Amino acid sequence: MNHLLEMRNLAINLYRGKKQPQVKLCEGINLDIKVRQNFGIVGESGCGKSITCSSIMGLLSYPLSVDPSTSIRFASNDGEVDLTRLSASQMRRIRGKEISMIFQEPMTALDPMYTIESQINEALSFHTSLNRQEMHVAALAMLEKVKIPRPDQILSDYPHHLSGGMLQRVMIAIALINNPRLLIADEPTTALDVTIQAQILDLMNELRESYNTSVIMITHDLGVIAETCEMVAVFYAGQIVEQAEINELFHATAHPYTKGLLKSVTSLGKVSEPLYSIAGAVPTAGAFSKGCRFHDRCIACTEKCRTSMPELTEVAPGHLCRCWLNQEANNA
Amino acid sequence: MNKTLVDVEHLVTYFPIMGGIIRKAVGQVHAVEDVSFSICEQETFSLVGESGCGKSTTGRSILRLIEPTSGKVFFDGTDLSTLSPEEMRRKRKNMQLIFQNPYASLNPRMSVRRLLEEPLSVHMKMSQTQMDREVQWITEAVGLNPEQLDRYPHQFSGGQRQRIAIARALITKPQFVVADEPVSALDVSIQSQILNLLMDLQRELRLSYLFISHDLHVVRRISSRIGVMYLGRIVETGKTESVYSTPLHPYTKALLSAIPKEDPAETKERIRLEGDVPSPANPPSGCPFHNRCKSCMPVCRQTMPDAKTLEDGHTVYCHLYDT
Repeated sequence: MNHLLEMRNLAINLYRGKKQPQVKLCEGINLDIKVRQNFGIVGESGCGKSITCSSIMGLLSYPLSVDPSTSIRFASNDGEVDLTRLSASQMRRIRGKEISMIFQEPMTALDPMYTIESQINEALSFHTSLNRQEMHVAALAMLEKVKIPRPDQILSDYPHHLSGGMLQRVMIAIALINNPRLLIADEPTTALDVTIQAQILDLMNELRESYNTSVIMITHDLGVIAETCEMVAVFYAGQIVEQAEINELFHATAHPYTKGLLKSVTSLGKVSEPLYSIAGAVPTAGAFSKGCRFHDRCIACTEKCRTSMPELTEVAPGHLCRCWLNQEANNA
Repeated sequence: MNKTLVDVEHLVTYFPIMGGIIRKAVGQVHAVEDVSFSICEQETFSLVGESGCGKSTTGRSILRLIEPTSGKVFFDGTDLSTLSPEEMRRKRKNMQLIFQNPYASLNPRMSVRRLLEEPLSVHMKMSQTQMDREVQWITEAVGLNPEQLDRYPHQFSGGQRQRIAIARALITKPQFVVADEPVSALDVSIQSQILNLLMDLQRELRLSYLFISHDLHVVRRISSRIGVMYLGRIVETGKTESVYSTPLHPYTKALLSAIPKEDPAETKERIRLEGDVPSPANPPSGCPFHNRCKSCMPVCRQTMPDAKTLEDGHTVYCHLYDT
């Protein structure tokens, strides 16, 4: 296996009771994460980007479940494993040590009843055999790495003493303290202000270099993607619609949805009338048409788009796109 | 230049901090500190700033949803602070508010029709047929389907709900609308739909907006003039294009340079701000920005800079421009 993580054919089912059929929230998602790669997942709310990453961490719970046909192969320290086949206790040994996660809202992700030190120690005491004194030293060093001022004082503080930006630094410290191979960052800067967001993105880029960690960055903000990622997958309605290397995605955009997204962001900065917008709204899961899921909002929709689903095909080396337009252009 | 519609003069809003056993005030949060600006007819003035800088409190203090501590707000020549609650209530027909979160601002137990009729029955004496006509008109204006009027808010998506909230604010035909982060809860592709709608309605209904947002792209698109707020104060104000092209205040410069780049190939020199915004309960002496400012001088620690107006109404509060 030459990748750190290989996700094949991910499907996530939503159970809706005995009488109703299961709904597939995500389908046919393949992801390859290389060692030390910064991989971006971008999409609008409800497109399945967060549940895709929760499935890597084994955090999906009833009524959601990973379809048995899925395989998520991960190159762990003890050799290659399939994350979907691991028992709960095997998964616990990987979670927080080899794969860790940063959540969107640091204000709610940390426990208000415990000090910062005991929350950092929780990650250490579960995965290492350090004693109390050694853990204190390690926690202190980690807080310095994430550039928290007065780390010795902050260790004995509670989450409500700190600002959002500081809490996100603490979250990053907890996630990185066991030197994970893969870090999943689920909208790490969405709840923060722009000036703080710039600080956190810089910090994450720096730490990634020094820790040799691969990062999966989930976000709805194309600016954050442009700032940090090397490869990008664009999600729409539970599918990958386009995947490419970052410069390719921004300059040789293939899918009409990605084009629309980029256009609605960049046209914001320019004073041209009127503002570009994609008409309509994202379809709800379970009510997908059998054709392309974007067809009713697409400006280039044809009869074929309504009736059959395009496959994710390569339009240029390393550039995948799920659209009939590109496939016909290639065949012709 | 159009006639001035709203004139805010030295607006100050403090919130008490209660503490101790008998819950008496032990301090004050200086939410809005000496804010002055004016909005002309059919103009969009934006307040932009990071969370906690007092932009929403300013918007609400103007409408007297929060009672300001001192300062005056003139609406169409009337001093709002002298009005009795009943007079104020009648005045609100002309000044409305669009809230940030359309998931929380609409009563889930009222159908869209009832939500839209409510402001009419509060502010206007109308027969049912007249109300029906008004509801019909506004539904079309905001792009809702008239067949959906008997549905409830939970049956709509975020963008549709924000359309309902806008319809509700505009049905009394106000002159002035405070839009408090109307698009920040929405997805990018929906944001531009709603912004286009707001701009179309402004032309059609001759509205003036006070637009509150933390999103610098959105603000640039929609407003003719902006005010940049930091820690309860306006630190820079001017025409949108001149503030974006030649920002004067060090905070505005840092804020603009912190916007993530639009293109990965773009190289951008960043001004990094260290640390966090100080607490408004205990604001620093002198210039509120001095402890994060790269060009801080001794005078900045002691005295609050005065307004300096450069060309074309571009005003900045910073000692760097002292002559």
